[in-house]
Amino acid sequence: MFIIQYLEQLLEGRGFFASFLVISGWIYVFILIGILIFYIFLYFTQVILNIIKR
Amino acid sequence: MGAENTTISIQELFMLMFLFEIGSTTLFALGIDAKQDAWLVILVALIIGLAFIWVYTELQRKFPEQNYIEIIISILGRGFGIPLALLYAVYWLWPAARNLREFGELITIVALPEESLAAILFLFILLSLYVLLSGIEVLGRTSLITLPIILIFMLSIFILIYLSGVADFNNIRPIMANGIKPVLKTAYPNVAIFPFGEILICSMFWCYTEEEKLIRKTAMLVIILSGLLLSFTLFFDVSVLGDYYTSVTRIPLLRIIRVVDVGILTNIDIIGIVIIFLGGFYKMSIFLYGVARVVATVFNVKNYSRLLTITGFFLLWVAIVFEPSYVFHRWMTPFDTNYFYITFLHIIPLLLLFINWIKERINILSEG
Repeated sequence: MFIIQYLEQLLEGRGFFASFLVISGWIYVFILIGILIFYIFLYFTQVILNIIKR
Repeated sequence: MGAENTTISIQELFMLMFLFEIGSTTLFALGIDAKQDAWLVILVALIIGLAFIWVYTELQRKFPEQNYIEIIISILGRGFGIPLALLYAVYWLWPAARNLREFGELITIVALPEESLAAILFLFILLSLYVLLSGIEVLGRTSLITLPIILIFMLSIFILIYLSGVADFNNIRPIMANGIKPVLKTAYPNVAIFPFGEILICSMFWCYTEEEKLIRKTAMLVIILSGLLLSFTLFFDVSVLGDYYTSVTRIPLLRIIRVVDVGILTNIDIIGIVIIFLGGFYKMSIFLYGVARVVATVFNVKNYSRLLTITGFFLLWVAIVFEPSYVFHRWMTPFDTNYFYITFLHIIPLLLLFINWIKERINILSEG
């Protein structure tokens, strides 16, 4: 896998603490992007519901 | 002392944030990858820093009574908020440990080469705990004395270097010889994050000030003034040492102070050491306070003093074991800003602001 190879290269010799912060930080960025997409979807659903109600 | 009784005046907040920004930055030649344009890099990074101050203070404006961790939990809920809050505690431990280690190493380099690093760090953490156990407002009040001292020392250094006639302003020229690209590349993410983005930790105590409307203006003023001071420092570093020697010198500020020679005023290294130590003490103490405050917020800890003491000694242990040497420490410098400071200090706050904004729109729509 390309990502695993890239991470191995990137984190080589950096130690557990730094590697943990890199991986967990980016995982949380993706989680937050997911939450953002969910709320955007909810927003448009609400817009459509409001149009239908009228 | 519990956070409930804490209040910080806007002057104390200004001085604390200013000292935090000066912090350990005097140790490094920030932006020196852009060679003689390093001072310009600071100014460009300052503008990016101001944009992110808007983001941080906008979050604070939406939740004026809460610290940054409470804001995260309010926006994301406990399920997603608490793991992120704990990650912030772990993340802020990193710059706290690095700061502590830097100053321990500095003492061994310039003053006590025979002394054990652990003993020096132990004394440093004891002093920090002594102040912090009295409350963040006490640290704020001490900054009213410390900041003028640092500023007077810095200005004296610039004046003495100029009077010594060692500054060759031709070293600064040509300005932007390779175009603006190297300047922009060095400014973001490196310098925009360290030191300007790191100010996010101050959002752990912004809620303790009574004049919440002035937080944004104060933070922006801090970024502008500290940015100008850093740019001026880099300007003198490069004009005295040239870009190559500035980049290879271990502590450029100490190196330029050593060349001061005005009548009886020579060997004034101690002024530089005082500046570096005071800056580092405040920066490390604010990070330590931040880490303990995150844990106290998440787990609703009542006995904050005990928690702070445990966190302080844990930080001491981390600072000793997490880096094998000072060479490793310097090797990590661009790596940490590029790969994880950027997520915690820029991307996540920006995403939180977007999520909160959309949540507000949804609430308005559902009510209307």
